[in-house]
Amino acid sequence: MSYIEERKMVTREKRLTSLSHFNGTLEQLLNETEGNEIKQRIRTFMQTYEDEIIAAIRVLSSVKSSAVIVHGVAGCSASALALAAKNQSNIFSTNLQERDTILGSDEKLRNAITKIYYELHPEVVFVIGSPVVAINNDDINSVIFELEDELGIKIISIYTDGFKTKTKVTGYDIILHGLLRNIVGKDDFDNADESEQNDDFINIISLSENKRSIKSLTQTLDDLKIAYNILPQFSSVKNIRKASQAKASVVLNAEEGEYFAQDLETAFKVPYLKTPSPIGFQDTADFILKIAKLFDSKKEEEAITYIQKREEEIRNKVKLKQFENKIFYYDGKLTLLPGFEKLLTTLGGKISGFAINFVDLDNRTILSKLKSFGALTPVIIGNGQNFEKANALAKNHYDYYLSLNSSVSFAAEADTIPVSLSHLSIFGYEGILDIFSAISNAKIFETQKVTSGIYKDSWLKKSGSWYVKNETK
Amino acid sequence: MSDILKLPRNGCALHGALQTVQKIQGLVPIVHATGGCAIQNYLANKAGNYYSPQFSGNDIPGTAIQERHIIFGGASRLREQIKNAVKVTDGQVYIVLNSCPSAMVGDDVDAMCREAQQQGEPVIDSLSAGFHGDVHYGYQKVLTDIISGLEKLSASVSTTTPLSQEDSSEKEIPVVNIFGIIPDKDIFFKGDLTEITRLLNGVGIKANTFFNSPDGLEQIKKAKDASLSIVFGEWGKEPAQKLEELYKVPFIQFDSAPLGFDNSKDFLHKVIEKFSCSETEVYKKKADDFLTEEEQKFNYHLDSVREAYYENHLGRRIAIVGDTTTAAKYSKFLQKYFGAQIDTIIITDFFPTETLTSETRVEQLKSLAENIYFSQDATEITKLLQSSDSDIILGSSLEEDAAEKKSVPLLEISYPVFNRLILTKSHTGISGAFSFIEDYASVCQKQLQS
Repeated sequence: MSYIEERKMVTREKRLTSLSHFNGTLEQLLNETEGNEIKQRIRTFMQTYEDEIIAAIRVLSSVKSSAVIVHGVAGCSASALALAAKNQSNIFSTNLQERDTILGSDEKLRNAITKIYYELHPEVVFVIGSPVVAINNDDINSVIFELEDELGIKIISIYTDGFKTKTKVTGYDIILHGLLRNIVGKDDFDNADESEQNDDFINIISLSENKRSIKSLTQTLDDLKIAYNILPQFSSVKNIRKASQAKASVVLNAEEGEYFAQDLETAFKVPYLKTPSPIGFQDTADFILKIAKLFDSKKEEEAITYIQKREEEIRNKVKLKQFENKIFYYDGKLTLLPGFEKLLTTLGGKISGFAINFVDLDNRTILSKLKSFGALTPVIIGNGQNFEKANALAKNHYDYYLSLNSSVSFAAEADTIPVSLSHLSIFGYEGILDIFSAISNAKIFETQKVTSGIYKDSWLKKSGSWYVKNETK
Repeated sequence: MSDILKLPRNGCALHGALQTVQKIQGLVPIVHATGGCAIQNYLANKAGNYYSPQFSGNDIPGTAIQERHIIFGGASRLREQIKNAVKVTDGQVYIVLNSCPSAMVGDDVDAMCREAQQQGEPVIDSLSAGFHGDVHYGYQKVLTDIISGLEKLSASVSTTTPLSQEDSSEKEIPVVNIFGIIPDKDIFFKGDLTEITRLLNGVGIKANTFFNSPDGLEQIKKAKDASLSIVFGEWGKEPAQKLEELYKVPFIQFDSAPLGFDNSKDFLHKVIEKFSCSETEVYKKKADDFLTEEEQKFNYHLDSVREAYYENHLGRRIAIVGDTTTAAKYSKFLQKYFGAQIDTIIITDFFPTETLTSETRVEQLKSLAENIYFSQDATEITKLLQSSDSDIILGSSLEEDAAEKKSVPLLEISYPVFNRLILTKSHTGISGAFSFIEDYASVCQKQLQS
């Protein structure tokens, strides 16, 4: 179903009944996620987590010639400093005060957009919503309609609020929906008259991957002389607009960007090429081959030769079976789990417990394909929620806690070696090297051998599912 | 002050309260907010490598309020969170920090905390909704609330540790509380507090710094037994006043922490004077002995910079960007020791009071600089710096753009500083002056030799 005609994108909970709270076994999870609807659960103790506002700020501020206005209190855009450190400095705050929460903030938004327009002349302005304006129900759209007319630029409302969804991926849906409705294929931009009828490129849809991971893949595509259009992260208005002309779309992480590829196919007839996320030898090879096949047999042959060469090169650098008999706890995204499962098996290790952010009607199919996992494999679903992971690590033996996130040091309290991949490449051949070297070099930080943790022993001995309850409506 | 802010550098009141609480060992924050409010602060501080040792990032307990809590109220969710936080997390005292959403829907945070207290749980609260102010305000508010909250807690909850634990063996040594050095906001806060402690120890006084200690909460509990509170700048005044009001602890206020020998000497003399006890003369004597030695050391190191002073032209025209105490501290030092001219000061903290308007503060600061501005907006600050007649900028990493455009060096001395881990470095007192001279002289030299 396409949502492109909808003014606002619905939450992942409503669209795909996503489940964000679970603590149990793989077997229990498979049972819970059967059927047409996934039963919702809640946690009665929680820890803070990245929400959809943070996701929206990060992705949209990376779009060249754009400006991002976070319509809220200055603190609602504090994470902009983290992005400014990476040279993304096009983020503004309407800096709402207590008075604005009472009297409304339309005028501040108007002033902000006007000021930014004259200062930066952006091609597009994204207005990101915050809890304060959502609670106040401030009329953002009237301001936008009026100023779009007056200033002649595209101003896009990103309907985030921080409290309607428990899954950060809803933020990605909201962003992509805004781009599909307002930029993709539109010819009302200044640069629209340029000749861009070349459709010999593929869209690579990226939302959360770091630059190092992306570089690892683009190097491969460059080597094979395959043209690509990475979006929306690190893209430009022009490149987002021309997504409608691509030969096909590939998504680096299906649970984040599949919606965009599906709507590109429905609305703009750009085929969605389903590929595995390129992690490890096998999935990287599959990823490259599927893309190469889109072109011609010569490209496919080139790709086969390239894969053989790179695999040999990497196999000379990594020691297969290096992690023989090592037990891993994986903390990351469900769609990336099969790739890690295969890679770690190749390296001699085994994942025997995992934490993921959510399961919904789309990504649940992955669960049944996890071949090396037993029915009793411990599974946690939650955005963050390190206290439950600490509980799982305290009860079962794991050699390594392998996480795609930051905030990993708690694992060391259970004598499990934390490995954070948040700043490293996980994709392609460089990804294999990064993962291999990160695990090989990891050890428990010296002070953690003597300091105590932040959780009570009584909690670490309790059932991990203690605070996960059925939702009552 | 412009309404709109490019790259806001001061976060919100909740962030100030949270990063203050995170640095007090023994205290556990419970954030009554949406899931992402606290993480915004974590991401901002992490850009500068300001990691917290505990209850940071995804480890912070929070209610993660959802739509239903906005519509029907989130008090019951908070009750549930408090009840479970004390069972899961290991702390001596728990503090609930509210947020814009919970304040707007009118959740009775105080009632939920009282309820927990009645059940014997050490839970206090601070109404630190983001829209009340910025990080500086949050620091001031939460410290004041912790002091009042601990007082209430001592009346209602019997904890295994008494709230004020006087150690008779330490009674002879006077103790002073230190306020106004804001964790993370002062990028050298750990080193600065260590240096202030060293200076005070040198004259026989012990310092309660709260943030630089494995027994931070115990120090706050003992704050009421202190002989004096020392306040640097405006933001520490309110908690000091609260201690005076509740426990008759007097306070002395300085416009900034001292930097350099003369300022440090002046600081110590004023603190000793304020004691006005029978022992004052004893402390004065100790101070004389201590300062004589420090002065020799200071002059020795300062003298070793004299060639660099002439060769690398250290007496420059300077622009400073930072909060009020930062600007005052560096201006005074640079004027006195390097004969520098402070062309421009851009103040990045604001006081929402009638008595301390921008005009009165300009009046207070005008002896320090030729041009004084107030702004938190990166665009405006860049423009002001570009139009300034300065040949070096002392500011944050956000001023890099302006420095590049002006082709002048930037020395990072204020928040935020990106990709730099700071553990013990100080730019305060006498030892801190050496670090500052090293940093300042190095950037000047690098510029001229590149």
